[in-house]
Amino acid sequence: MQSASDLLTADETAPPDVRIVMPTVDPGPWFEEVISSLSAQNYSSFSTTIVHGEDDGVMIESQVADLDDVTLESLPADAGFGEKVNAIAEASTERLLLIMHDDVALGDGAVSGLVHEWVRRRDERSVVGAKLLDWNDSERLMPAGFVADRFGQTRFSAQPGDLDQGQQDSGSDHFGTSTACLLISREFFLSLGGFDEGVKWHGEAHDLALRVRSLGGYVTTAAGAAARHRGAFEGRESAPSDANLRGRQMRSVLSATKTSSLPLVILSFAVLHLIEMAVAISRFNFRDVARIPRAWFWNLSRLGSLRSRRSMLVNSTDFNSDDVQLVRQRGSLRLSESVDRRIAEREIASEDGGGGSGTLSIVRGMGGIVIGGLVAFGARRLFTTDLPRVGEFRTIPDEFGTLTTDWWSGLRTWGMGSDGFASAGLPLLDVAGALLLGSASALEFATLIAPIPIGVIGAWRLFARSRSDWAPVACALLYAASPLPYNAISGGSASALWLYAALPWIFANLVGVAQPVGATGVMLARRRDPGAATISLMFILAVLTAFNPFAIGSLIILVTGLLLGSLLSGDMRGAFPVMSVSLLAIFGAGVLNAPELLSLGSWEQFARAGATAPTDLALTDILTLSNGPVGSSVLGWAVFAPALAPLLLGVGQKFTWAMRVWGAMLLSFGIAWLVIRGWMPVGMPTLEVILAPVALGMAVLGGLTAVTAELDLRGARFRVLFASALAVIGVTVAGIPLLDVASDGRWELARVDLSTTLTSLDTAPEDGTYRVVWIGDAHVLGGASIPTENDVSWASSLDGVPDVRALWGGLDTEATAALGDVIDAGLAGQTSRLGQQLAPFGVQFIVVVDQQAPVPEISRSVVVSDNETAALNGQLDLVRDGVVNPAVTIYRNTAWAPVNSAIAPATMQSGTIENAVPAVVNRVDHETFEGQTRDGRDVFVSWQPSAQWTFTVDGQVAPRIDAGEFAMGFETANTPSTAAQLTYTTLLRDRVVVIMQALAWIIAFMVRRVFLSSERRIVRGEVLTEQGSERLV
Amino acid sequence: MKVFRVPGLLIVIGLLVGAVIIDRSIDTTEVEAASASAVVSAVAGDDALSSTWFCAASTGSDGQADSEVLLSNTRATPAQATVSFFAGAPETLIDAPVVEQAVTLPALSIQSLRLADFMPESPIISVAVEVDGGGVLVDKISSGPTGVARTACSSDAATDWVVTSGSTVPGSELQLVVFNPFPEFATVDIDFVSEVGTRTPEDLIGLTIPSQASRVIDVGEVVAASETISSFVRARSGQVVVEGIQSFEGGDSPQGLSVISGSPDSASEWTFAGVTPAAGPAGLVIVNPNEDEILVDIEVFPASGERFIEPFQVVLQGGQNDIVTLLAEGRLAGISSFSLVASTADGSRFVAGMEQRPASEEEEPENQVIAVDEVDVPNTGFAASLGQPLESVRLFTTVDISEDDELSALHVFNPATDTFVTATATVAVDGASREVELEIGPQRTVRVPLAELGTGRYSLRIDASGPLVATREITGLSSRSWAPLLPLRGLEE
Repeated sequence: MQSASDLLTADETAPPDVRIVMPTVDPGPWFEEVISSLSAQNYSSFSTTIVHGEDDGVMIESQVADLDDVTLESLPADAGFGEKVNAIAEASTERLLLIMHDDVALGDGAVSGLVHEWVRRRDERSVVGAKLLDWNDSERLMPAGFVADRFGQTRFSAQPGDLDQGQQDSGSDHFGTSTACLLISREFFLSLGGFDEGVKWHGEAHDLALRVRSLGGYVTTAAGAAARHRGAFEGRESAPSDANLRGRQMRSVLSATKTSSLPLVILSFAVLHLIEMAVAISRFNFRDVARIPRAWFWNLSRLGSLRSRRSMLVNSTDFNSDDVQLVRQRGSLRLSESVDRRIAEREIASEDGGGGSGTLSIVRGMGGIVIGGLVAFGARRLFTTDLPRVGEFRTIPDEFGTLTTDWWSGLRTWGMGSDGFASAGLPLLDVAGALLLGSASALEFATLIAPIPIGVIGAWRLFARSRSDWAPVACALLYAASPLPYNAISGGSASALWLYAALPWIFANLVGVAQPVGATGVMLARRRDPGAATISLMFILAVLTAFNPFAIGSLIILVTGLLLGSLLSGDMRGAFPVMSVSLLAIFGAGVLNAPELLSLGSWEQFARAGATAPTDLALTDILTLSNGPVGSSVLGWAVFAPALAPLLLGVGQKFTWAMRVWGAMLLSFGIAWLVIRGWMPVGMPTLEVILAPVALGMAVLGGLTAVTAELDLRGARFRVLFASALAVIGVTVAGIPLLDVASDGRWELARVDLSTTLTSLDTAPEDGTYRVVWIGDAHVLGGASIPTENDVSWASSLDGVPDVRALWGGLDTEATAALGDVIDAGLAGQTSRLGQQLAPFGVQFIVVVDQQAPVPEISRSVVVSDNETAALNGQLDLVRDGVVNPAVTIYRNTAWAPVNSAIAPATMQSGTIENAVPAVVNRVDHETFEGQTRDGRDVFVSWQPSAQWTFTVDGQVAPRIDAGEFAMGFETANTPSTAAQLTYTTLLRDRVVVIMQALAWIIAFMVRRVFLSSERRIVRGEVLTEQGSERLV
Repeated sequence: MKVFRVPGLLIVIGLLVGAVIIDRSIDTTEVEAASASAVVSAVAGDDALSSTWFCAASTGSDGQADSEVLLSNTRATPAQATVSFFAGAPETLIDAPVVEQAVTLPALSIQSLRLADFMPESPIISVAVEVDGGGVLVDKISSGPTGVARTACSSDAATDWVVTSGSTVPGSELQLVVFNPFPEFATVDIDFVSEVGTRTPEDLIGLTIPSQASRVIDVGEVVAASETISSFVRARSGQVVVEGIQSFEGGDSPQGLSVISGSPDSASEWTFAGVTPAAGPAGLVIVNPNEDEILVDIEVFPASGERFIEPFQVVLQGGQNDIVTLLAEGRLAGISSFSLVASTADGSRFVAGMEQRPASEEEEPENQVIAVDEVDVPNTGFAASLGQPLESVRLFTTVDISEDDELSALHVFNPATDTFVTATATVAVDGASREVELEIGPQRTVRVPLAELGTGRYSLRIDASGPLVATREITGLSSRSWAPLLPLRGLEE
């Protein structure tokens, strides 16, 4: 390659021609100043090409009217920065290209300075960048030169706002420089392949620098060429996002890697991204969680262009990637920046309190490791074994989209079937499944395993910004050590587990809006914008409600308790924001789930309520949360030590919040007490759901104790000792259950489920569709059930063991009520032919569930009373069936008739179904049965009568006949059949409603993003401002 | 401590401590009692979709006696019943025939079915009666050379049964009939307790009771001669109905026939209304099915309150039985009729029955006829029955007496300590009914001769203002039967 100096020697009086290339994106008012700066250049031989979008031509043309030798080019709006520059570079003839952003105003003589520096380097492979200054303040720098790591991540050598002290004048330490203003030989640029057109708008500078370095070139800065750079490109309306920056960085690196190093580089990326994924999950940064796999898919879909671009570089004789390694940063800049950012935030948080950052790191770091380790250790066996389906932890259909299809349909199969709306939880599960690559088992695993870490992280974050080192550790430890989540797992209460996961985040929003102005960093969460808090709370509540409608009730209990506590503390500040934000969130969550909520038939379904009968639990079991297999009514009292300490010793907001939390706890205790004594007039959710605010309250009080001991009691040695002793004793003793649970390795989840015991429920498809009636305590059954006149409830399922869809109920229709009446009569001993009574309802099996998992596994157990068992055992047409285990008793109905039966026309209205044979036995999808009818017989369909059902025989609609109030009849006796179909057609009105619901969720999600992004920008600005102030100081 | 925190602190601690104190003072025994109501035979109410009766130990023409079942419809509307007849034998009957007979029961009527007409070949015939609603009760009468037995059938099957009485002394025969009316096999374990100890015959462990059939066990073949035998039947799988057939041949030994109902459950209190000691030595049989020792309090209430009788106690080891001779030690001297309550103070559950067996002619020839309430009672026949664990305001029975029967009587006991109870006895027969008013003082027993209410076959219903226990005592020339009236299901107390 010819050197620049050689060329200059031929004609030293003729400076090289320069073509300024300036792609624009929505240029604003500043653009005029940019053009003016070009006009003011004293360089004699340069021309300008402005590449604009299709809509900006007229505006730009008017602004460049006074500029000499300027050309306007228009390219499609979706063309990237590199593509625009490449197009001009290929078409132009000038020797040098000056690539500029449209928000860079060149200083006087900048072009000359750049050319001078380029010539001075005497190397065609030189790339010279301008010294970038702040647009508004020429004494401060804008970032230009950067360093890079082996993964393509860059970091500017100077920060925005740094005083210009000459630190950018020498480019020797830089890996590359900004594309805001750089000079490069056009021929060299083209030999590099130009900019990578696959890298649009973000990452071009690194890509160019890497290729320059790979061919032996270097990048420098011309101290004599200054330019003011406005920056803030992301703030422009049509500015593309940098969402796939990882993908582009990966592409750049892979395209500049020699073949022998490729496997190692790819492996390095895989390891890095796995680490980043873990970090993102731990921080609930779901954007990054989604972006990481996207980077890989993006590159895999562009392998062809990547290969050709790579071959263009590595086939060059000058290619030498080994030298590049020498100028790269070691390790991962992104990871180290992440750590730095966290530390910086901590430092700011600790600024007011004077907590030493060193101590901060050690205490919190060790605390986090210990808690995380214990939680992970406690779940170790869950990673290696199949998860049993216990209570509300149910099977999720393997076929992706099944749940959304059900949601889309207006047919509910619950009970005797009904027209109604399904829960938004169904499509949400599908969305979650999609994030897990459609794996149902991974989703089941996630729904069980994720809530505890999510809850514990949430508890940690409540105090993450406090000035106390110990507060987040104490809060998270007490929350993780609470027996509640493990009792919820053991008792199959997914509702309680998910509530446990969400409560700290809900609480953080409430605290955020109740926080007095100026209290940032003093305790608990940062003060939040009410709008962002409302939308955030609403979204959490909406998702929870989609899976458990009583989540709304839980929030009401929590907020009511907090307000009562405020009253007791005498400090009602923040009460109004908490109440208003909560009401708005409840309203929003209700709207998002309105179709399902309006389809719920009863309070029992809303609350998944259990019996109102008293239990043998004592109040002390409730107070110590030892109402299940985990917990101790003796050791559990220890947690009261740190829980009472803030009441005794806390001052100001700490006392107020302690009182508020106690208010919520007392209200939960009170409700739970009424439940266990049988004093509640209505059934209530599981105790774990009711007591979830207690688990959180105890943890928060532990955190407040730590804050009080560390910050408020300085100098008061005795009181410090007293509070510390209380806290240490409480936290230590209360942590024993966590050790106990951890030793189990399964979080007290049963090892096996009832699937083996229930195999007898599987019958041959040709025998027809059948119902199973499940009888037992509502909380043992799990999911939606209907109370009987006794203290047990019942639920029904189609064709065997129900899956996750059984969590949601439906309208209590006449047919469902009639089935309930028959079950009531059977349990009360009012009939000895229960099977015959159940035949018109298509019930083939009755399963009495005394325990959620087979004996001797530990799980929720409420034995159905002897009277009811005796009543079922005394039925003359029920036969015991299945594998014998005391946990369940299976009865097969010997008088059974299929849900879709072919019966003699004379028996259609008799109320008793005799000599029935299966008809249309194939259930092909949620709404359709196919099969045959029988000659001389009509079809009796055991579904709640609905006009939406149609029966066709050989394409002809069969007329309806009267089959009573609880079933449908279709006249087929006189129609020889070869193909029959029973189809449910969803009303258009219902379709419109679910479409509107989906839109509402999407809009809510987008609004949430907008609010949170806005809030995040504000917070980040505050942090940066604080950091900047700190540096200046 | 600053003043402002005191109220809140006191409220928190006060609420916690107060609630714990209150919670500990709450008596939870009610919870346990509510979940442990006894299962006894009862007449289904009008709201029942259907009701079922099981008569296990009935004999065909080839057996010890000729049996018939009486279906009494006490409601004012006709009832439809399906009567199923099942064969029984000492051996296992596989796929034994089942004969079904549909019966229409007119309102306020009694229908009789002779078992041998439907299953002439079987010596033991068990019966299940399914009725399309409530208000119907089923009795059976077995008539043989040694006497006549009248017993109400059982309204429920169960897994655990105790037959309190029985004897295998020479001249007597005790057969245990285990009836499985259900469509699946049942497996039972049977053991016996008598004055010679506990006996668990190997052949009766895991005994299979085929579906829809009965098995008959001759207890004399597996247990040494014993004066009082209590039989325990426990079903490992399935449910069964158990009854005993006790007969005495006469001659050197007493003569009599009795079908003894099994008890499907234990209770902490048993009441016996209207025991007549003059009819024969009355023995209270107490069976303790538990593992622990129990202490049973026995209170005797003379029918007319002639005098106060000091309550006494019986201690019984777990798994044992005992017969309390009530006439012993002269404690009932001068008492012509009384009611008795056996109970445990601590709620321990047990089973209690009463048996009266006549003395042999050689023993007390002069006591052939004893004057009781101006009525001569023959001391013939053997009577054994369970007590009644429940009181009720509505009671039912079926009566079958001859026109000249002056001995049979209805005994109505008011267990209340201080409340008078008025009762209406409704006699229904052939579609018509008439009423008789009764008043029973606290802890008194009223004896009403059945002949005063009617003769022949009729159903009797008692509606009372307070809970009562009543007994139907039918005394023939050579036989006696004694059985409590059945409560209405759902109104038991």
